[in-house]
Amino acid sequence: MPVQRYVAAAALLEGLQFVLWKEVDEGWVRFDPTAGQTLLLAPISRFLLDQLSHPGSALSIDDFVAAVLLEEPDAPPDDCRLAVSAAVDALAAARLIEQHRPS
Amino acid sequence: MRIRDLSPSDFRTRLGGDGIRLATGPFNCRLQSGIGEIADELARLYAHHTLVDSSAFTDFHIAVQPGHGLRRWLRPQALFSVDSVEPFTPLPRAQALPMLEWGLNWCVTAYSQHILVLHAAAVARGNRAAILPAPPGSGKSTLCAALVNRGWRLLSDELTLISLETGQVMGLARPVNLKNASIDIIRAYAPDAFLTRPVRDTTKGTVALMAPTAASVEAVATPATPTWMILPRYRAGTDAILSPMGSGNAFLQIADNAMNYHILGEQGFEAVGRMVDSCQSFGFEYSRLDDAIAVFDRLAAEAESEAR
Repeated sequence: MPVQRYVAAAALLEGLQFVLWKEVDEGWVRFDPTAGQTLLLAPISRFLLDQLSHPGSALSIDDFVAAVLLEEPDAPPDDCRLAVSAAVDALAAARLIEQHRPS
Repeated sequence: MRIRDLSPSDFRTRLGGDGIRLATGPFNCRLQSGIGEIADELARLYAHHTLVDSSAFTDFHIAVQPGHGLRRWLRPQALFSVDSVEPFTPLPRAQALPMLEWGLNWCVTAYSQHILVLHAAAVARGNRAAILPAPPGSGKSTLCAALVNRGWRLLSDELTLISLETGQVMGLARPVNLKNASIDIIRAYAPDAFLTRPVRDTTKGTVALMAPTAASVEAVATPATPTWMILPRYRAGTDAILSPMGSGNAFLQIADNAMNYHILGEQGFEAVGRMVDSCQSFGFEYSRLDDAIAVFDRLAAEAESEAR
């Protein structure tokens, strides 16, 4: 079974240079003036989004977990995977990322 | 010169003629009406507002006039216009006074793209403002009216104006719009406050307008610093409880209640961000007004004490 990968939604990359961020108690507020969308993101969600913000990036859950552990080597891997999965679900629900469908 | 300095007949004559020109916060308005029965209550609602010279720039030329033709007698109507444009369908003539207030709110919202406009009440103690964004039915106006009658300064009941340059709250000190049960609650709570006669069967139910206090109007030009963002909710039987709110949630609450946040783009984002940085933010449940006011007074006292 092929590994599921995720990519940034096209709209996310198009407006990236206009996006504004503000750090808040819960993480980050992200405002995309092009889409008129304001979202409250947990810190890990922003971290994952940053991993995908380069055109062509397509990452799996394992890739995300590896990136988080590289940043935070002391984090328990199982907790890390749970947090990554929840963040990926939230980002997909917000249509910031989507499943990669290779052409 | 203030509205209260005009005799009732002078007020009525001006209202029916060239109009009453008054300042309400940062806006100059000209009010005209051929509906004579609103004159006395309108004069009391705006008694403390400053009259503006006819040579001064007028932001909104507003009129509430009787219906045309047969509608002057048959189910009489009131027509609202701003700068000679009628943006709304007519309402029953009995609703002329609330229509004027709602129309003026609409003007502020539609034409103020140089200010962040929040659908929120705002009151101040000293130079510190509490901003109360909340959906209809949350008890926002009731709480606002009660606070204003217990020593807090009314900045606005319906539209809170945030300067994009300074981040401060600019006062409007216009009448408080009370609805349904809150009318009798405030009549009992503040018997000295002036409330208009209730107007029934409006789209908001029964409404009455409460005049701002003289102190609020006379200090309207003094801006206040956003210090507390409090999301009130009336819940029968509950104690008055403040629940701290994270700045991210507060940001979303303010943005959701801003009328022109998206239009302002980056400026709106920066203004809301500055607000959450300067405010302590809370959810707030209450049932008894005295308890609620005690909580607000305590917040003000704590801020004053910390500032010393």
